[in-house]
Amino acid sequence: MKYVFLLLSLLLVACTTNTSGISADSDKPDGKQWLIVDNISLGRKLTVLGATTQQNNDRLQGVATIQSLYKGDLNLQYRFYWYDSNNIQINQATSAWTPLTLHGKQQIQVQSIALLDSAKHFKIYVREVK
Amino acid sequence: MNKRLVLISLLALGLGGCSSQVSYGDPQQVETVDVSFGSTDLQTIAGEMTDSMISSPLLLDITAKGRPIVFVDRIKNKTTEHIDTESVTDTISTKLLQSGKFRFVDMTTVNQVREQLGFQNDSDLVDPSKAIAFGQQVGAEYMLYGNLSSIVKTNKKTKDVYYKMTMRLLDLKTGLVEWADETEIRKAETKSTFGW
Repeated sequence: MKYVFLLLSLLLVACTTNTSGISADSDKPDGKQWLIVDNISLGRKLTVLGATTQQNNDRLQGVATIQSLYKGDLNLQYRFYWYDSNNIQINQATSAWTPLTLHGKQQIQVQSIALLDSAKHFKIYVREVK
Repeated sequence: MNKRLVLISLLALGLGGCSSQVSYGDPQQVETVDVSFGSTDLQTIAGEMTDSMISSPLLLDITAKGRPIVFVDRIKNKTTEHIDTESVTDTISTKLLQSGKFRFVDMTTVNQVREQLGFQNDSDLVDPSKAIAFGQQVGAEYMLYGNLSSIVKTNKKTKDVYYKMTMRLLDLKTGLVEWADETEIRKAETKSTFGW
């Protein structure tokens, strides 16, 4: 009886997928935490070293540096979310998840250009693909 | 008795798992069903091409003077797959239009527009003072065109697909290519030795 419940709980655990990840904000208002780790397991294997913006002609360019702390390959996906000065997300539909593979201990820069000139800052979200 | 109840519950759970379900998903989600050209590839290509065009220093002079009128030619499919390249073209032109840097003329609707103007001007059913006259449309200054090609390699266990998308912006007056960029995607599918 005990084993049946154990097997059942194992089966249910195996079916769940952890879709949380790590996010970094290029804006750090009031000294708020800019790097948020929602998935501790992924947080041990991955970090975001910086998330900054720079002006590129009349559009804002977002640059984030993602570093693998793990020795093997990491299959990830990332997404840029752009916000205006009122902290309202803009162009939600046009921002897509982009696949990214990081090899052992690799560090990589990812970039995005804000489609609208009203963009003021961005948030990057990185998560693991199972 | 208890064991039987547990077995019946497990059987019911198992059968329940077999019933079909319909659910809504995230349209931006990374799609990994197979290695053929998918929604993620379309979104990646459209995003990278738009980013490149709106931030290119090559186009700074052109867009600084105003919003140039661009004709988008349908992207040519040079892959072995059937790909709706009109959809790729639409996504890129929509994003570029949203950026507020370019204006577009749509050549896919020329015949319908001609029919509508003919109806307004020749059918005697439309008030002539309110009918839109022929010959008032503006011509394109630039043409955006591109190719999508692929290289596919397969063996017993692996299928590797490499996609390359090339886009160019041509000045229709001078014939000079003002901007060009390429984006690449590599996808691999490995069959497992066991399982299906």
